[in-house]
Amino acid sequence: MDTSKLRYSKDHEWVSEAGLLGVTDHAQSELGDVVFVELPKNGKEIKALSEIGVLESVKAVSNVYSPVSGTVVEINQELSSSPDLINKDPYGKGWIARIKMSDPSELNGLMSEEEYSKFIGR
Amino acid sequence: MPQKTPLYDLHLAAGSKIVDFAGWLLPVQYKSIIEEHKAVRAKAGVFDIGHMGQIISKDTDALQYLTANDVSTLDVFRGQYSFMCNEKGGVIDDLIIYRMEDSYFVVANAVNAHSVFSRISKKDRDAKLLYQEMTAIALQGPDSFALMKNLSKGDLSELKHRQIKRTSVSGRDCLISRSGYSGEDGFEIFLKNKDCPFVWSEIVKNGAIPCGLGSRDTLRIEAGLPLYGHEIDEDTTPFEAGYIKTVKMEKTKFSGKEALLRQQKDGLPKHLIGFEVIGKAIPRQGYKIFEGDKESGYVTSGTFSPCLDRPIGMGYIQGPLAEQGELSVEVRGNRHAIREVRLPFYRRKPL
Repeated sequence: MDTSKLRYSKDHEWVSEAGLLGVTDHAQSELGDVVFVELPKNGKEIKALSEIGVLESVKAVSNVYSPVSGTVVEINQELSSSPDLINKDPYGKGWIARIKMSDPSELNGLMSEEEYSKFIGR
Repeated sequence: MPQKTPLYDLHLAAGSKIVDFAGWLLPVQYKSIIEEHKAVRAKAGVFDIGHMGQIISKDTDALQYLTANDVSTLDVFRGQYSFMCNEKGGVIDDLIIYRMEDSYFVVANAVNAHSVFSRISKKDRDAKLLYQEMTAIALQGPDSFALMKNLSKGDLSELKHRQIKRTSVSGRDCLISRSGYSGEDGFEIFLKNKDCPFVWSEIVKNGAIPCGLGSRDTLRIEAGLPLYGHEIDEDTTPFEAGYIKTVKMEKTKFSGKEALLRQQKDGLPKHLIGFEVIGKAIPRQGYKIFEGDKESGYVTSGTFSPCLDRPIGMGYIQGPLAEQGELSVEVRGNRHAIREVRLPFYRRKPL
């Protein structure tokens, strides 16, 4: 996954132009070992910034918020048996869901890779 | 202003994630809580426990009144688990008390060190709290014995559980006790602040994995051990937490005795259980426990158990008896069935 082509939210989620989303490497590092992922249901209508799922690590619970509005059309079932994909490959095999965006212009309101790097202080 | 142990710079240099725990800056993990947890169960891990309170007192009467176990039963260089209780029988702190040649050595939780010391020193003006000079580290895991044998002076094989001795590690004087908080064989090493970075580095060089508070917590939950502020607190008695024999009711007088006598007569208002979740939801402190449809308790600790590969937890159920009806825990608005498990969840293989 070319991370330079992704857009990033203040809650440390990434989203691609095709509507694929996940959490960033910074997020998975802060969270620690992910042991359980609560995925959204297929067909769920979602508004930008609302909760789309939950990540449970050994020590804490963390909400995942969708950076964009639309409908959930695909969820990553592999995360049920291998939640650690989020730690191992957060931009690849650790993708969480795919949204069919209702308003692609929302992507403009998100951060670029450079802006996100500055945001997390790298 | 959070405090630092002598190992702070080493933890930082190792790239660990530092958190404020009970007013002390300590690593929560180095690389991965699960990796550190498994290393302790399979080989050996080393923990910075410099935040814990170390107190010296020579006043037997003070300790007999202030604590619920019986220090007069201790042979020299032996330790006992104990509780300091308030007048309601609630726990002010859980402690290990060692009898030394001419004093008692009391190890208290960081969060309660000052209140424990304050109670002791009100009765014993000569009592000392040792943070300025002393710190501690814990080496835990099946390989601990071989590792310590390499680095320490003298014969360790006769050191029994909670037995303590004066020796040296890598040439630096220390006290070591065969004890720990992980459910594995291991040693707690009490040593001078200035010697700690060197001794820690030697232990790591000899094969122990540095471990943080995250794995310390998952290990003790698997071992069914209580953590202050979770399974025990000022509103919970040792009896409710399942510690019946630790309290020596035959002692004439000790803080909390009347309240504990009443509990013996009237029955327990709540009792601690261990449980595993049927499914994948992870129980966390404060989540509600239900018997059937009735809210009947709360979770005190919970995590995903790396060894059992499932979510486990401990919590209180109201009343003294085993529960009636199906138990469940509420996680984010949904109820998940749980099954009671007799503690500990994990028992190490015999040495």
